[in-house]
Amino acid sequence: MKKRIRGRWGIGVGMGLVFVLLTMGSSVWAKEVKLGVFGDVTGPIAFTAQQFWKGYSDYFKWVEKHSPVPGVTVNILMEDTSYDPKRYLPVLKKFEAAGISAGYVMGTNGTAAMNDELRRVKIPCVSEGSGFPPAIEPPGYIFLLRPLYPDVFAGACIHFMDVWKKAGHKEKPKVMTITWDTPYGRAHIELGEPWAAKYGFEVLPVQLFAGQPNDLSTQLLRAKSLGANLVFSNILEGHFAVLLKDAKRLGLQGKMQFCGGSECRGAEVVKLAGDAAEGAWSVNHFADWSETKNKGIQLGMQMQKEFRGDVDYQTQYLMGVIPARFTSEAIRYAAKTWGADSVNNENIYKALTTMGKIDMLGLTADASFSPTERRPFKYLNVSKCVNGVWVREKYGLEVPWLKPAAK
Amino acid sequence: MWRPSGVFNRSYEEDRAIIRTPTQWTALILFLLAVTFFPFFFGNNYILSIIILTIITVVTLQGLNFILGFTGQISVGHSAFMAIGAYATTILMTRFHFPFLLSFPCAGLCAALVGMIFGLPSLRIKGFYLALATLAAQYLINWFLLHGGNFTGHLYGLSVPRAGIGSFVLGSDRAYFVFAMIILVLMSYFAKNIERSKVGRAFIAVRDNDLAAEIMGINIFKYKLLAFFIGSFYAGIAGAMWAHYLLRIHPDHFSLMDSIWYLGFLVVGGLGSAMGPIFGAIVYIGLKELVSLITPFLGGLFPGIQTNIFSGLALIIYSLVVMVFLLFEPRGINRQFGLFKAYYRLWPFAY
Repeated sequence: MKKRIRGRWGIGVGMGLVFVLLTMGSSVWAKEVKLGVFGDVTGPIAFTAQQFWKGYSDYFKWVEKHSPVPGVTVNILMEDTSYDPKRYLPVLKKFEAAGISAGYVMGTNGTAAMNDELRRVKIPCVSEGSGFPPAIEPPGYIFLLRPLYPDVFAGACIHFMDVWKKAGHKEKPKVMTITWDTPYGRAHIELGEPWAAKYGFEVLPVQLFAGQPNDLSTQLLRAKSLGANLVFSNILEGHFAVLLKDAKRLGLQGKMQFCGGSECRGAEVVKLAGDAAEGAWSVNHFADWSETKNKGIQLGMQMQKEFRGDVDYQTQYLMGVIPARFTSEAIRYAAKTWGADSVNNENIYKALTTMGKIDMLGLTADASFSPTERRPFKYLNVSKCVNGVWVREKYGLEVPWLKPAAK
Repeated sequence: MWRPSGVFNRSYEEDRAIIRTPTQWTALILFLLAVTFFPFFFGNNYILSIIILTIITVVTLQGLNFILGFTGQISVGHSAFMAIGAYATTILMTRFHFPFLLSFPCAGLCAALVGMIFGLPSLRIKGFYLALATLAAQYLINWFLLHGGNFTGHLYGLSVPRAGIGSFVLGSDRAYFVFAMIILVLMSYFAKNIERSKVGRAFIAVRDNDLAAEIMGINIFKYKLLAFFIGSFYAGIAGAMWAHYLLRIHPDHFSLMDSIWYLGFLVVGGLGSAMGPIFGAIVYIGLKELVSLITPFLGGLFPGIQTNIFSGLALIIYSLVVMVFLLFEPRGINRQFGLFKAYYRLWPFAY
């Protein structure tokens, strides 16, 4: 009797061990790759950055569940950097001590603050912060997720000039920047405006605003008095909504066009600006939620249903998926090429610079970096707000990669 | 001056000494030993970087303490004076090829001169009006740095060379920590001595009642300007330390909000005392770290209200702390520290 009981216990313990090893096996023996997210989830870009974070973390969850990289588990460390230049360096030190292999930076402040230090510690980071050209000239460890903001501004000018000429105008169009007084907001001015002047625009004086504005009449009245035809703004959704509402109140809609960058397009603009958003357009680098046949959009919806219960059509959620896709594909390539155990900062850097085309599932144009280029593609989209929905007006607008001066 | 029973001064030198008792000497020696060897035992660069940032903030607050704490003048442009120091050391090193050891004090001097210019209105105005004059300093300096063309790095700021003494480059956090500590000790010693000197007493007299001070023969204008000079010199040194640590500077690193929080946390630490800036800086940087740790955690716990509430959590907490101190302990942590010291000296007796 005793023997039988002991035998049953033995079988039970044995089966338990096998079960534990089977379930934990993949994570116990897989190579752990740590990623550091410099999350600006509080502070002035909190709303946008929180959407980035949701998209980024959901994508990695999805990869882990549906299409894991063989032999690799990804561990994401996120620290709040508050869009505060004084926070990035300590957080980078913390991540360095934790042994991260790659990172994700959410804004231009982060790109600017860490550019030199990342070159020293040799940790590749994908970055939303395209407003700091010295990060890519000479090429370093910052990998941009879209062209530089001056390139985006150039795209807006190219598109506007097409429309302008087709409408039969002979005179030079006038472009004015009304933008946020931050490194991000001002980023397109230095390289972009001289280019616009050469391209045939009359460039009007820049109008800046500080903080979180609730009235931009002063700037708009200046645009009116100088006869601006195109107002370009590198600002966030909330700012753009204020600009559009004030433009409507001042009777400027129809007299000039309002265009913003990637962060100016989204459900929040329509929610906050209402009718005033009609006709506004944005030069951006990724698909609209309205493109339901797009694989990337379908994935975004599927991820939200799976991890958040329902689809929240926040545009910046998709922007968070893009860096996750870049990083995940680089890890996959590094694991395949040099072996899962060799996935580290050096090999992720090598992967990003040599892997060639990254399939972006239609979320953006085909992306690729090279040893000498840190911009992923040259093609942008133009979206327009029509009946309260952002729809694509032009696909594959080729922008010039403006050349930043080398240090 | 409070002294433990049995400690007597038998000469002027003894009376003037900062370190008086064996306990104080022991504490100082232990502290210096700890400072020297700390980085070798705690190699974590993250902790070192937080301490370095705290040291830089202490030096900044010490400067502000001269202007506000000792002389009673409000400056909301302190962060801009830091910017002058940061840009001065960078430009002197990169364009004029100054060695670090020369550019570093020059950075303090440049900031001091600029600070003194913006302190000129203090002869005629004070209080709220002086605050507005220094607010103008904040905006004017930032504007100049942004639009200074190649000289100030256009919109992208400047890359800063590493600090070094001769062939020895302060390339690691440990080396920079030791350097920052040396600067802190020197600046604190200087601050403490000014406080006890004729100049310090004149500052305090001007703060307490400028009319009475003038009747006593104190040249008010001279001392108000001197306070701006010394305070801005400290800010310039702090700015230079910041620049050589981050290795990149931009006007946005020296914002108006920083100037305002410096004022707030100097109150928290204790205005008009040598220890106040140290307490203020520790609380300020400590809170920053604490908030950045708890925000993502709270955001995860309450995802529905994350966007609305937690995005401004840091500002809410800072403001609350400053308000609580203004209401319940306007003399700051330094006062509580003084009470604790008095209690400790008398222990186990109540009085």
